Amino acid sequence: MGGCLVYPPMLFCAGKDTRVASITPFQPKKIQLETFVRYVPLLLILLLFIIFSLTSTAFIKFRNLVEILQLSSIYLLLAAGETFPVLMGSIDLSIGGIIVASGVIAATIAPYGGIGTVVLILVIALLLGMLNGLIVAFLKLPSFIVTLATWFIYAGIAIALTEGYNINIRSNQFSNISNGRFIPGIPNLILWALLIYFLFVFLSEKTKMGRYIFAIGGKEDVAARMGINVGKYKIIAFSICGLLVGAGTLLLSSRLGMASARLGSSYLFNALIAVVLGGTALSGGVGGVRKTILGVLIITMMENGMNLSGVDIRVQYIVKAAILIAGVYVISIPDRSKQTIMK
Amino acid sequence: MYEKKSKIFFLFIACVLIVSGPSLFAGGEQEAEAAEGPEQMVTTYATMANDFFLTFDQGAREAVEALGNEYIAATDDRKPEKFISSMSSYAAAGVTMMSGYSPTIGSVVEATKLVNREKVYYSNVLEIADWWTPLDAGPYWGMFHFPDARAIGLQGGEVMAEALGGEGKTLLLLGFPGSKAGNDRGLGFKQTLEKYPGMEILAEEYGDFVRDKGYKITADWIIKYGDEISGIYCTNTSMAVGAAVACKEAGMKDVIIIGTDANKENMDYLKDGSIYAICGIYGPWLAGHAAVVAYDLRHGWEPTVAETMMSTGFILLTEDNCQWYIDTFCGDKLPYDWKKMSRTLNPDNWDPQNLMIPIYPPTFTNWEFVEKPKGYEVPEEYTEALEAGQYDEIRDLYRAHFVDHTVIPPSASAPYDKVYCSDNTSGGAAVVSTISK
Amino acid sequence: MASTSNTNNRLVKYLPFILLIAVSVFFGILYPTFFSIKNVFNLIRQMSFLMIVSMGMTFIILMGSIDASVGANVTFSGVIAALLGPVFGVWAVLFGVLAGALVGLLNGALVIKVKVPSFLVTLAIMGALDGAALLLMNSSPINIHDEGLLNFSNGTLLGNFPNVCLIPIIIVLVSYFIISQTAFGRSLYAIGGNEQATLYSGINVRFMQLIAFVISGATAGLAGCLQASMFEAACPYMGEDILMNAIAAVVIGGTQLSGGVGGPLRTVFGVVLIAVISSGMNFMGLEPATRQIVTGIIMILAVSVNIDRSKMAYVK
Repeated sequence: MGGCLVYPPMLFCAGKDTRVASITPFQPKKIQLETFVRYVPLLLILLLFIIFSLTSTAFIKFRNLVEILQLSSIYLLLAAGETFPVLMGSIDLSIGGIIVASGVIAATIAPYGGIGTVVLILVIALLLGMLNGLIVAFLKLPSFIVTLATWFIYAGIAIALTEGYNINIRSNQFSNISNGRFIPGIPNLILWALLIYFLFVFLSEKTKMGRYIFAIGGKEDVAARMGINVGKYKIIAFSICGLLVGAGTLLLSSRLGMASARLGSSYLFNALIAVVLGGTALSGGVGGVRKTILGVLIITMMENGMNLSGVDIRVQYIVKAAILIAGVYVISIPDRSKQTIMK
Repeated sequence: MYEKKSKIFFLFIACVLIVSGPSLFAGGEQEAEAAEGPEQMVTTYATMANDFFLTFDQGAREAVEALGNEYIAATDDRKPEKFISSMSSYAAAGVTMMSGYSPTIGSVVEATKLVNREKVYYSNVLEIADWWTPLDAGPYWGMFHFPDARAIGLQGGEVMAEALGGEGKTLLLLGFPGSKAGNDRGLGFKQTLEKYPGMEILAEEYGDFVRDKGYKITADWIIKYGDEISGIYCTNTSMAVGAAVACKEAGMKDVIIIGTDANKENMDYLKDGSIYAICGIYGPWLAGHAAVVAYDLRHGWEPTVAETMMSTGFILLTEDNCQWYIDTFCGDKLPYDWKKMSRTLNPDNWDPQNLMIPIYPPTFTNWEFVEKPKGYEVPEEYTEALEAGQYDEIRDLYRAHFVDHTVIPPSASAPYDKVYCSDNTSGGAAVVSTISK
Repeated sequence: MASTSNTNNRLVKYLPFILLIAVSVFFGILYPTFFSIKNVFNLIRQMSFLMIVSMGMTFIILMGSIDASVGANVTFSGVIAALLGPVFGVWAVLFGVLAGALVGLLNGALVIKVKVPSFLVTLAIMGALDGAALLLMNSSPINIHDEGLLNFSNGTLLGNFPNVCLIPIIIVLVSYFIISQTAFGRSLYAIGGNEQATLYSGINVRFMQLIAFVISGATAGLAGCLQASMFEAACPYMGEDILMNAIAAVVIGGTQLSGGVGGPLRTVFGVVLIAVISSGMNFMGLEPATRQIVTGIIMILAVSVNIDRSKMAYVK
């Protein structure tokens, strides 16, 4: 049963060497350190697991572990989406806006949760992501400011449509997308999220598109000189981000039986933190979609475990900050010696 | 390299198994023992970062501890998915009693389905989804109760009209876009003002229930409308304080400012006259009473149909009775006898210690302007109960048991010596019932 | 090609002015009271916090870093000042500023010593400060009763000119002086332009970075004290909105996130533009949703006319 939690990280250990390792020159001593560092997210998960098992009897229960995975599923899709622009060295701050706008627009047009609602959420999210990409690529503006602005715009649209009210989608069929169970005890939400996630891990690692995105993140001018159509791949990366956020929105709305019209910034920050804790650098070119899942598990385990252990929410903010800084510090150890620029 | 990796996996799995194994086996035993000794009771609310919820937490904690149980606060940062997720986790942990506030009205539907799925006794306050009653969700959702938002606004409007002698231009500060409570209070205020031909609303704006927004918006209004402004109605008191500070700075001391929900820190401004009146909704009482209801449900009490939704009392505070309020409710301990509220502990002489009147869903103020979802009808049981006279019966029962009058302001503060409560037990439109000492 | 880029540059240089004048004229015609003395003072009051914080942020962005903790720092320092108000009166402001500066020092130290990107460090510190501020104020506003501290914003040091308008002006002048007249200021441009090269040139880059973060922290602290004094209380999350507005003001003014281009005077225009537009939208009585959409569109427009693409190797 505990296997439930162990399974996804295990897959990752079995995976191939990551990029960080492959580009560092061979030095016996270094490799040991790097091997250690590569397992830091895993060790952190293990450590959190042990600590929370001791502080809360509820934490270790099978259904709570399923609950952690359910919560992780939604963040997994958001964070996986966010990984694509971050790998290019860009950033998408608008994912909270995409969630509310796609959910609310779809629920306004098709409120009864049929196949129409599903398709609309995905298509609208894809288009909103693409719009980000188009503005970045054609107006040649920094993604930071573009997506900050579109975050305002998308969130504004959602509130304008519903006056800020969430729209309930009362359909068992729609609710079953997330809450149904193909496997007894495991909500479908988890299966869908893993399926979509692995599809995009594959796309990012085995296709030309994936490699180009890495290349752009590594050195954009070099990539351009190599003849890569940088603008095109930027649009693609932002569109994928939109699509994955749309998939997350779909599962979230199905789970909650409603389309949310107002969200705070915590979705964005948690997704970003998950990406970085997983080992993808904000400067781009390092890391990968496959690593993001570890960051997501750390975040959701931390939240769930601290809640169940009765840690004051205000203290939780402080603990989270400390873990984030420490985590990023350790993860970036192998690159530290090469790093001269600090932004 | 590869071997090293598999070693690490193995270690990882082994560690997980070592840690999880014993506790998993232990889990079963613990559940069997659960009936003995204190049980855990969960109260949900939005955030500690807010003075309303801080006192809300105090009420729930006192009630749970008075009942001899262990208190757990589950905050959700106003995020529906965190709210649902923590309810689900605690249900998994074997908690059988939950109560509290939900971050959005929409999330009430999923929460109440969840408690019925997980067999958790549940009672909630303040926010309810549109056209969604406890009978729709199932028996584990025992009671929804709240001080009627529309009635609060209506009463606020009356106070404003009276203070201004029926003539004047006013402004309206709403809460979040999408906050039902904020919008309905505003709606009630507007409805009252329509009765007075001399009263007018110059503008309305969302102030997100926070002081700094209340301040900024009021400062802008003062520039735009200047001396035209004679009153500002705020759907919570944090914003009212912001408005009061802005008016004071602009030298506009005569503006009538009215706020909603009374906390210790805000009472200073009522005392020195910068806020004219505050509507007190007894948040801590709500939180504690909801916990007591969950406890009663767990111990075999079954609500009648009329009791599944109830409207609760609120008061109006002015300079005259604010000292009474501070002395009675702002101490380290709340003045309620929580155990006495319990129907199961005191089957004959239970006392809600506040005015409570059942809500008849088909004419519930919250849903008056909301279209029913396609195919939805309010469960027939409600109409049958009304026709069988159950609503009058329950209203009279709760009135008769309301013996401890701590929440009623002293008669010296007339006309504000009453507890107000919305009442639609006639089956028609809601009216405001009052009770005084 | 060269001539078009020249005219382009000249156009770019004046675009913030043109945009500002256009917007002001628009609201001035629509609402005659918009430029009454009262509203101009009101505008200055409302932009005062943003102006102060944006000045600090300009130092950071010029180096190509970012400080995401300023909003939480405003709240945190405000709480410190409000807590110490009863003891120290107006001098509590010093402690507020000091608290802000220490937060800046912590940010800077983490960036240069622990070598974590500033975006992440300050994002994490933002969360920690929010938690710490809430713990300190026990989740509810701390009212300020001390006359001295209240007079910090509402009093007048200079004739009839309220402090809340005077302080941001002083901060702008000081920032302008530091950035344009000192070696420290010049090194900020150098770091933002090419950090690697600056390192080789012998400038103590790390120390300069540290100082910039301390300055940003101190300005956030000052803004927090001013805000608390003006609201007569330190409130939970009172600085929350400032972060995004400050970044937007700096970038709309024409300082680039990649660093090395821009300056404090440009930021002044960014702040004024944001303040005029937001006050104007209040006058129009726009719904918050519409206001958000308009703000977003204006941000994209302003940045797309303001940005100097010739100095950008590539766009991230």
